[in-house]
Amino acid sequence: LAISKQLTELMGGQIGAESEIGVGSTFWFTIRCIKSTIQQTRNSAGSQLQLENSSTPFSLDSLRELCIASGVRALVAEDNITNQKVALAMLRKLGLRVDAVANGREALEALRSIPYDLVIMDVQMPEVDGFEATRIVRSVRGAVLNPSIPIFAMTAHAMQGDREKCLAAGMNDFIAKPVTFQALAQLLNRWLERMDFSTRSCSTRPFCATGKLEPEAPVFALAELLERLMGDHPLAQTVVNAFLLDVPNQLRELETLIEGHDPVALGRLAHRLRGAAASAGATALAQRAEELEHAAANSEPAAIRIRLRELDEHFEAFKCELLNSSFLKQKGPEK
Amino acid sequence: MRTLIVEDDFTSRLLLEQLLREYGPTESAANGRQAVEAVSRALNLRQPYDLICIDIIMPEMDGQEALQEIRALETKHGKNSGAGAKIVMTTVSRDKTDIIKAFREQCDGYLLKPVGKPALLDCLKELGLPI
Repeated sequence: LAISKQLTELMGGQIGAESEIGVGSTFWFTIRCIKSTIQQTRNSAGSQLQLENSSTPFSLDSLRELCIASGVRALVAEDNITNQKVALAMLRKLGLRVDAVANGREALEALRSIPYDLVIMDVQMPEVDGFEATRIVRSVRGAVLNPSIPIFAMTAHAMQGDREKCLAAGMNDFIAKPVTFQALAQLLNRWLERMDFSTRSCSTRPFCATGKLEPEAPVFALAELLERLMGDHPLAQTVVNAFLLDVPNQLRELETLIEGHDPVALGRLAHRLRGAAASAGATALAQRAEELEHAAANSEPAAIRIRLRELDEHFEAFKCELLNSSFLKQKGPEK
Repeated sequence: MRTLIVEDDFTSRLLLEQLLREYGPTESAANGRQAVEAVSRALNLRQPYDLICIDIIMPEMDGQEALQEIRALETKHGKNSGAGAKIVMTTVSRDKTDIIKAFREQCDGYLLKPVGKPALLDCLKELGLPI
């Protein structure tokens, strides 16, 4: 009782007891608290209920729209491949652009070269765990692009101690495993509305809802291509057709080189693809190839894998754009 | 005008071939080694190239090394500076040090990639090639 008295007084409260012999006793205390702004989770089911009851209602559609319009880009760090896939699928469904890495070391690498908006990180991972990775992100030695990037922990044992450990390591929030779609949406909604996306760089431009790219660099710069070829439409078609035929081979070769851990050869191939894309007016793809070239020059395996996947996506977007345009069918004006 | 195009990327090579073929026969090589072989063959046949467009970053032998060897071959055949092919370096990099190095190895001009027809024609005119 003496200890409890000290504790309650420290917390600005009082303590007391009322007792009646033969009837019973009532022990009571009061303390002053500030209402929490962060919704903490106890377990997945409990957390959902708690969140549904306490947070302001929001629509999934508007959250998705916000994610797409702002081009929100997330990094998932999770060593379990199944959990990783589930998280990626959920985040994509919410309209985010997402990449995945398998441990804290790779997460750090990716954060050094790619401007993400948020990180969702498993706390228990091989090599560098989530706590350690977060501490490094927040420190000067981390040398990441944004040391104050929001980091959300994924933790299977949402115990009180774990939560404190997350926050102490510098994580901003957390989500209980197994991650549910609703809990994830709540988490993002809570954070995204506070984030400012007005000053983002072009390299984080979003995919639009149809899966097509909306980068500042055009997917297919037809006008520029025609200008370069002095209006020679058939020549432009020849060049673009050659490019369409050749790129799948180049992407396969790049894929093979990743397995072989040969960054020099990889950089050279990325350089070649960059030249090809530039020649064919695939401006955005050329930009991505250049980024892969840089990642290879700096020998960053995680960034290399992410960049390569981006290249795949951008090539798909390029094909999409061509199929939707009449460029390849059109008989251009005679030169 | 006989042209050799040295370029490891298929798309860029095709583009140059298409742009240049109306001015005379073109041949192509995919890396520096093939380029040196082609130049050697042409010199032996006494049908030297008038123009060589060469990429700088290529596998096997890069453009700079090829440039040196090509100029050495020409000298061996009695074609000293000025009498050899006009060599135009193509590069996607805006890195001036690469360009300066290439000039030191005696290239005659450079074109930034993606190569456009107006820039190509300007360059060829400046080099006094028959177009």
